[in-house]
Amino acid sequence: MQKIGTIDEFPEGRGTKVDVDGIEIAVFNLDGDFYGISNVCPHRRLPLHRAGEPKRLPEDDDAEDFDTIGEVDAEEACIRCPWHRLEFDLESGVNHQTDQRVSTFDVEVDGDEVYVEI
Amino acid sequence: MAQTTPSPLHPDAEDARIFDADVHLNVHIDDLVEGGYIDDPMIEDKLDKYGSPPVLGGVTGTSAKYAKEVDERADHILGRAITADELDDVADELGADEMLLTPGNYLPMPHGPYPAVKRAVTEAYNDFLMEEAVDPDRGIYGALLVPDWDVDHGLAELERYGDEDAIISAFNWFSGYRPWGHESHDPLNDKMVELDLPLQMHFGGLTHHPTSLKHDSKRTYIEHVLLDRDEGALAEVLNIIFTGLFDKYPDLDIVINENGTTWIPHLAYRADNWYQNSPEDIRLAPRMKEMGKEYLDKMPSEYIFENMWTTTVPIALPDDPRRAESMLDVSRAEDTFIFATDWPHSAIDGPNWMFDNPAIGEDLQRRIFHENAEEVYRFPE
Repeated sequence: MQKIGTIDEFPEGRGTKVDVDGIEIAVFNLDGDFYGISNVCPHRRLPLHRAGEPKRLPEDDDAEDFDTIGEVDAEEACIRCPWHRLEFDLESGVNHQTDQRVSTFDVEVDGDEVYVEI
Repeated sequence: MAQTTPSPLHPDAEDARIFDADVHLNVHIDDLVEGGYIDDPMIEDKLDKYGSPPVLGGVTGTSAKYAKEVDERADHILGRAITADELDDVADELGADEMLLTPGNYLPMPHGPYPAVKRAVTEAYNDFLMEEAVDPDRGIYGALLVPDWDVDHGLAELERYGDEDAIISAFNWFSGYRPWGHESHDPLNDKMVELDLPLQMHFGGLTHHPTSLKHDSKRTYIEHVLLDRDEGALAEVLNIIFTGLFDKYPDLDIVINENGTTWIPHLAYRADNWYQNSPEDIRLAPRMKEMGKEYLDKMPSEYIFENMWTTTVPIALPDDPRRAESMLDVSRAEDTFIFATDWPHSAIDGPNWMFDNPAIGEDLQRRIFHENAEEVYRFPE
């Protein structure tokens, strides 16, 4: 296991990109459960870690329902790619629409420290 | 093990010089009305109550928002930016050093009713573009909306803003009011050549006629988005070439935007074949007849490779690098491709596919990222 940071560096409900020995991993903190998934969407080679980020909007824009790019679903432990919305299971890395699978990585918390297994 | 800054970009994107030929300025009718860009009180009231003019009462089943969960306004999938400061932030996010702003939410206009409303919206959009969005010092340039449904008005818009440094292209839609090769557009072509402005033609207009059997028989958004765009773009390219537009305007450049790149080999070599099969047909096209020309000056594919360009979005290369290289070669990518993202729409491409790609060497990367654009668009000296 390799240390990738401390808990406060991984905001809840969001993805954080880490680079471990040249491997880019999107780490999602879902209500304290941590998941690691390859940060490269197989569709367009764009990063998954931005799923759930607030949309860039003008200050006074009213975007009530769709105010993030992509989605993070803590209950189902899945994400939607922020770019074209393919869905990935964070446990298995599987996208059920195309049967593609991206690599997943075990992430563990020990005290305040977060580790990933490569 | 260091945590890195969240970014959608390949590390090499920062050092590469990138021009993005399709960033949408998603100005909404509300922005134009509330910003005081509509002068006529009657039209202002209409827009305030009803929004954009509709197209033939609306076309169903052909929108990204019915195919997947996206914003009610499908042009928002990644957000919205309408001022130079906001667009500058987008440029940082995309790794773009320079960008071309194209209209984002006026697709019904070539075929919609209410010409007075369309005229007001066109002027308001171009005013907004110039006053709020473009900033050549920061590499933010504009494509001027030039209505083909009202040629006199198109000329007036070119007169108003066509020689501004911030404007580096004229803009219209393929599947617009008439195919661009129609001889009625020649006053616009004369003016664009005089101004040294290329024409950027973007997906839009009536690419899916709701009364056609072909449209009715489609079952999915994918059929529409793939085939109707192709049909619209390819019809424009063939019409432009075979009506003799480039024979009359050899210095005119036209960029086909947001139809990917694979149409180039598909069309170029077949057009050459059919031209050699039936060349006698060409002399009857009104412009050719007016010029007294019997045949094209060049083979059809030469116009595609010399006067036409394509933006890369949405790129669709084979995964196998050898086949991707062949595809790029046969498409003459070094002469025809111009990088574009289509931000913030649902077909978005970032620049990452251009890096770590065995099919794309450094020379080709430079051609696609900025050198081809420098040949086409009228950047300030």
